[in-house]
Amino acid sequence: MTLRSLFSPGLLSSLAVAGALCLVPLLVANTFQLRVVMLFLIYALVALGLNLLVGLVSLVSLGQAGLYALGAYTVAILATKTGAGFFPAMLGAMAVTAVAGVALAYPTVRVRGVYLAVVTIAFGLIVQNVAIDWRALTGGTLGISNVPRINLGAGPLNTRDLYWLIAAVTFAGFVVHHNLMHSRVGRAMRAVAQSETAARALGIDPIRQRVLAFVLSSVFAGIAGGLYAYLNRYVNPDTFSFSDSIRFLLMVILGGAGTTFGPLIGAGVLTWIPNLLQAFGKWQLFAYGALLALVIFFLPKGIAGSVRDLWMRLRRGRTQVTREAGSWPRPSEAIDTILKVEARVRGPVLQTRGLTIRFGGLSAVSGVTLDIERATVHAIIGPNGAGKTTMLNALSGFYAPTEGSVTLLQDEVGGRSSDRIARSGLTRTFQNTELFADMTVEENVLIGFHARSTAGFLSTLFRLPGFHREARRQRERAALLLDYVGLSAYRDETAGNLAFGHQRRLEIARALAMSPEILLLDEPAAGLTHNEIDELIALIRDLKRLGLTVVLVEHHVDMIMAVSDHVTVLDYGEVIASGPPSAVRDDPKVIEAYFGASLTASGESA
Amino acid sequence: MSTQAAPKPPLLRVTDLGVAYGRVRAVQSVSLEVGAGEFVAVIGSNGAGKSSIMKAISGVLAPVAGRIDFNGADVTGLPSHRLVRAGLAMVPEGRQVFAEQTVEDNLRLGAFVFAATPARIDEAVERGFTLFPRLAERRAQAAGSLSGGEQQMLAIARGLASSPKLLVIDELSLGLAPRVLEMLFPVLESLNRDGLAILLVEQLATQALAVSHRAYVMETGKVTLSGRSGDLARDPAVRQAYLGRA
Repeated sequence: MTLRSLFSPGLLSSLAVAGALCLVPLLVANTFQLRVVMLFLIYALVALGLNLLVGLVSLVSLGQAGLYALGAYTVAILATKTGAGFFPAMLGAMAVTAVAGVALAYPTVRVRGVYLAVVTIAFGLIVQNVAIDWRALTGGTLGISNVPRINLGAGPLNTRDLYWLIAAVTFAGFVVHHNLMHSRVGRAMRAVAQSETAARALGIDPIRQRVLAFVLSSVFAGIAGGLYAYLNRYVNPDTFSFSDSIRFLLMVILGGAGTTFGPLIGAGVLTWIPNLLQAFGKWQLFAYGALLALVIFFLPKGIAGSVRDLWMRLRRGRTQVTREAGSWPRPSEAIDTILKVEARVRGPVLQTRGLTIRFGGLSAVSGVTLDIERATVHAIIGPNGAGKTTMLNALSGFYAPTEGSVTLLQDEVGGRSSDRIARSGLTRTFQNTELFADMTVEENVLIGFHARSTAGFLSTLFRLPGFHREARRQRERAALLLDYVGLSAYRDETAGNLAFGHQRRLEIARALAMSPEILLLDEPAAGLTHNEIDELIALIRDLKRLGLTVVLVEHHVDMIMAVSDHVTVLDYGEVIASGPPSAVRDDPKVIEAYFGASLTASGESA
Repeated sequence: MSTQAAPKPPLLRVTDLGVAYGRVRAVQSVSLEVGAGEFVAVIGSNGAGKSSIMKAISGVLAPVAGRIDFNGADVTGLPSHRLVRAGLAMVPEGRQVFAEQTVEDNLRLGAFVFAATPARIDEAVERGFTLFPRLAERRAQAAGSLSGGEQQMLAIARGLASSPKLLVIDELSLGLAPRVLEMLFPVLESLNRDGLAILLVEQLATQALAVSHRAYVMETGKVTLSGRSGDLARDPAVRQAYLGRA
């Protein structure tokens, strides 16, 4: 996708939706039909909000009717008991549902999937039962009637005016939904859903993203509930049952989770199909169920998702292409300015003192003291199971030290979360690569920029000028980084389809997008050929030239000897040798524990 | 014996194989063979299509062109579990042990498809422990808690538990310490001497060429060279590109 294709379809689809909304009053004959359209718009708003949750952070809520009820009851209560006007009542509904959204997001710190679904079901049931039993406030099973008509100053709105108001609100919801989907915030949310570990290493706090998604989806439902109270002028608990929650989720899935138009299509189908199926008489419900099952079976990505895939396939045609990676690294002045590190503090950039990591009774790392100097390459080697990866996890904040300290840039960071450590200037790659496999190569790199982005949340939601400027600059920089690692040809391919060695290069490019001061590489040479290892060595040297500090866990002896300034050898979690590569290589203890006799004598290091 | 007997077909014959991800063609038109009891290596840089061929051969990915014959039958597009029953087992890239199950259960799962009787499953499990005594010491441990080298042993032993005729190994050396490799390569050689055919994809070309009988060199989706491993190891172009010395 180019910049133009990213934004102009958004503009076109917004215009299409706005046009359709303007045509409705001309086409609809009577008030009853107009009311059905308004109900559809309200459902669409709930579905749009739910799509942010399902489509972006991949969390499923079966309690959306509860949030919808909270919005409706808040408006009904404020309007009837305090005489609040439209705006204060709606703001109240937004505030109440936002708080509920935070409360619902809290369990996601611990549970996901089926367990989270159960939590949201429970939430929906609680709301409905409170509505039934707190008679003094909610009117019990009878509910609250006589919700006043909306009065914006020029007298109560008639049905047609109410339509325009609801249409405007839903349209605004559609635009915000679209903008969020196609922005760095939406990208960060999808990243969290695909690999929480990688997201953390890139400075993205997964909890924050999930809370944000939950709050937005709750507020969408709250606004929809408020509009419903004004439309119906009467609320009672029957409207907000568990089956309504299921229907909202179905709208999203049927329409196509994660797509721009899916929620609108899903809400439309589920609003009108039941009426159209009345011809089936007593078989109506059966036909409804059968239709849903068929659509989901044949269009597993939902209606909009399947249409999109089909369109992509037609557009690309059947011609097959081959891609070839370029040589790397390809230094340039532009890359230098992106990656160059200015020394802000003196002395070692990363230190540990008596670092110990214990799992149960087992010490994976015990009493390790290290000083890693600025702009050097520091290798950590040792047999499989010696605690090397555990060390990297402790340095990057994925494990908290059981004992001892970790100091990053003169700052004690032991126990600090990995995403905060990443934002402080230390990032990493992973042994088995942790890419966002379903995203494109370019998107992976763009996520690396997320933590360093300055365009704010509001600027993202409403596409203020700063947003476009930054988005353009980040795409230019991503192109430079992909060129640096020789992957320009793969820019639009799905990351998960890359060869393993190319995934490693991409992971490095993504880490470099953060402009780190310290880069931890976990076995970067694994799966590379000799030629590629030579290129990797050149890359590490180039990073060192730019002032980056590289910490390297590696098994490839030639490479360690060629590139490291300092080698620390671990065995059973303890340092058995530490020093310049030539000294460590001849250390009898290291030969015994790690190299083995024949490989040092001949083989790889010959 | 009949005098006009046709030469025995190879155990595995891959003919004009093509593999693609979406519209990106990873493998152009590759043909290769592995004879019964033969040890064959495939080497080449990243993106050359080695792993894609392995995925097609082991039924993980359906090829877009070509044909795969195994043990005299066309197996093109057959799913992995049917291939395992036919005698083709796979040790996948990155090992992929069942991390939360015990070492012994991993081996039992490997034997499951092949041996329906408990006695034969036990026998297969014990064979694995005899091959790698380290695994026997850790039989009740969760597989995920093993070191990388031990996991690779487990992945090999699990592949062997189905008593295959051909073992396909994708990236044996990935993330393994030199000492572990020093131990694993001889194990493969001895399995091969006992009659097991092996197809090994490996980035460490030196070792791959040292243990195999024949090898194929791949570049950008095509086989560019093939021959006896000893000859390839002496070939100047191969030495320059894959062995790190001229």
